Amino acid sequence: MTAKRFLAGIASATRREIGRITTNREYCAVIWWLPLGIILFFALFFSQEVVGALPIAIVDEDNSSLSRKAVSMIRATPQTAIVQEYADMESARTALLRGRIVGIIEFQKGFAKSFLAGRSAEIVFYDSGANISTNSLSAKGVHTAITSLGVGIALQRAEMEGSAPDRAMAEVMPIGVSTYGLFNPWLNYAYYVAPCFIVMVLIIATMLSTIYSVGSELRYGTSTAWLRSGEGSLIGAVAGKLIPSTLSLWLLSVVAGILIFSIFGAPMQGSLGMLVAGTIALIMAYQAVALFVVALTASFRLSLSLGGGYSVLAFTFSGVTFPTIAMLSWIQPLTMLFPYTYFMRLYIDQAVRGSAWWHSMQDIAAMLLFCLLPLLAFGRLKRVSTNRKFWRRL
Amino acid sequence: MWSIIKEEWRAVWHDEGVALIAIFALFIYGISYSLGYGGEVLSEVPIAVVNGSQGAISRRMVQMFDAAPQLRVTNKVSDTTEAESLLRERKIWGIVALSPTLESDILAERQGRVAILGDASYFLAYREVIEGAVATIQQMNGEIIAERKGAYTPPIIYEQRNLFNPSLGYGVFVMPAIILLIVQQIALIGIGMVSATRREQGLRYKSSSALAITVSRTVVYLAIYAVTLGFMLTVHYSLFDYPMRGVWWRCLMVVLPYLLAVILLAQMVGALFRRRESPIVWLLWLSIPFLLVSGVSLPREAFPQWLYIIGKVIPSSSAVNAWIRIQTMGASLADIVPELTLLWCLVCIYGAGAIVANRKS
Repeated sequence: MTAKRFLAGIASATRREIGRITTNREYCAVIWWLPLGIILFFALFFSQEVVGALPIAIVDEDNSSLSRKAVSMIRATPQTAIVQEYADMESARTALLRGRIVGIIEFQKGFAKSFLAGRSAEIVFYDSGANISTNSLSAKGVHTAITSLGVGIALQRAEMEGSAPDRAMAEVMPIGVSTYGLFNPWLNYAYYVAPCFIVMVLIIATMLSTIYSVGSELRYGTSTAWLRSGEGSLIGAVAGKLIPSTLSLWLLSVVAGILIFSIFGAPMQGSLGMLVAGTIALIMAYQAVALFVVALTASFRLSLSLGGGYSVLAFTFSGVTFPTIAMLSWIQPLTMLFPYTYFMRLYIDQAVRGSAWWHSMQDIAAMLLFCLLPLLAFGRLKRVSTNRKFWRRL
Repeated sequence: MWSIIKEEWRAVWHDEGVALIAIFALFIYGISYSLGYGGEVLSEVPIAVVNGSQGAISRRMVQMFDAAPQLRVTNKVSDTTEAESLLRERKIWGIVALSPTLESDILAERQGRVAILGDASYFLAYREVIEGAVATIQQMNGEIIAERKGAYTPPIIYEQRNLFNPSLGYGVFVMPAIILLIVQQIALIGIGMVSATRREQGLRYKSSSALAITVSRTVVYLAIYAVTLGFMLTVHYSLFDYPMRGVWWRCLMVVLPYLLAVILLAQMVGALFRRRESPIVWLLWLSIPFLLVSGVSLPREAFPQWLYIIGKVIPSSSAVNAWIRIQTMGASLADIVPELTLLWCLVCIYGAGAIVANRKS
């Protein structure tokens, strides 16, 4: 076969595919409108720049000047808002169970008294614990307020006992601490969480649209027409077929990038080139898995089920929210089975951490390894595409 | 009605495509996610200590950091650059840097300085490192003061009690919501697939009453999900040690209207599809948005209020909130009245929708 004929095959397969996309509403939706719609949803979802104050309640059984001072300091923290003061724990607990508040701060009777007697006064923050993300936010605010109250009191005491102000701090806190958030000093959760979700949209779009383009040929018995358009070359037919969806997936990733970096204002600290290369590798990897699944199952519907499940599960098994090191030891290797895992590492390394570009070579290589999968199944793809036995399967 | 029930039952069980999604996917996804979050808590996070000063105090501190439940000191390095490259290689998740003059400062009763650098690109690890290191330093401060003055009484002690998830397990936090969301997702896709397949094949129910069709189909799916979801919420729940503080009949009061609303919504939505595979193609995207608008993963204070309110049209939004409060927190029915009311409203609305949708089948 001449190179000219091969290229002509690619071109005619591409022309044919463009025709299929433009005449099939559903295909159009998978490739374009659905992912755009979901990306728009995320744009709206993460449009609120700061997290609103979380509602908490106070139970002040002591009602002393000390407890009131503590309350006013907690009130000043931005993470929480005291929405109600309850007379007893029971009614506060009810509010917690009704979802009106996320936590309760209790000052027991005798709080100020034990303090005045030189003992420790205890403040308890009851958090439901049922929501870890609200928990860490509310706990942070309350903890900070109470720690600074405690330090303030201890400083006052030390100064009253005659310590010079500059010595008093060293007496109260022999070791002083400063905490820093490396790579994301804003501690902005949207910078970090939103890309994880938006990349998920990209991989679902890649998976479904690739399965759609090949699977529907088998399902509706049009695969010989497809292979014929490739001028006798399966590789040409596959390549030509995937060109339109690949271009539109690239365009989709540009939209996603604009949303993440320009609209959300997420940082881009490292190599944009590596991020682009990684995105292309990610799309290729999922296209490869999709081709593999279609060839293997020779069923449009089953490959949608399997491919869909595989792309959705990637989120949990990538370690982006629940870190890999916390997973069960025998589960940890499974994280390597999802291209998404490598891409998110690359994203964090390049965009968030600003690591050197070569840090991400390994991740790109890992994603490209997935592209070998269809090679294993090319023979089968040819067989199922030409054998009527595999068509019109439900 | 009995013939419709039999027909629908066969449509689910004799169609491997539908059975895989509508029935078995619940176990596949449920078990996968539970295993993914099976580690539950992050502990013993590897950190590096940058220690410029050599002496008893800094040695003692390194020991204490290592002993903290949250932390494990895997590397002792002499400068921050070295620590940072370990961090970039994901060998460690935080750095504790002791100031070079720490030892002499403390001996001279000046304030010694320690910097804690957490890797904020992974939030859970970041929180663990900061919490563990700050608590360790507070403990160390107590020891130093006690040594100097003979005794140490902090003026204020702060304690946090996480009532319903004491160790802040991740699976305990997300799995109750995820299990309910999976049911909704597989019911929408699976039931939609049955409707679409029938339409594609030109099959019609042998009844002229849309109400009878709707009731029969609902009975079939209710029976299936009563068993499969029942399994997940009892056996699976016990295997993974998810909190079960709810009284069984209260749990039922949440699950029943939820399943009804989901099954009826699925029949309604199913009318939109003309081809068997269409429900997967159109609905697969929605699992993450549905989880997010319920406000149980990211707090509802973190996204626009109007999205949260619109999200209430999805049965899972009310159901996961009610379920977590009943089963994880042990609330009473009086505590979930708004959610239950809304769920029953959705049952009515989607019930009417399902009848209209089934009229043409």
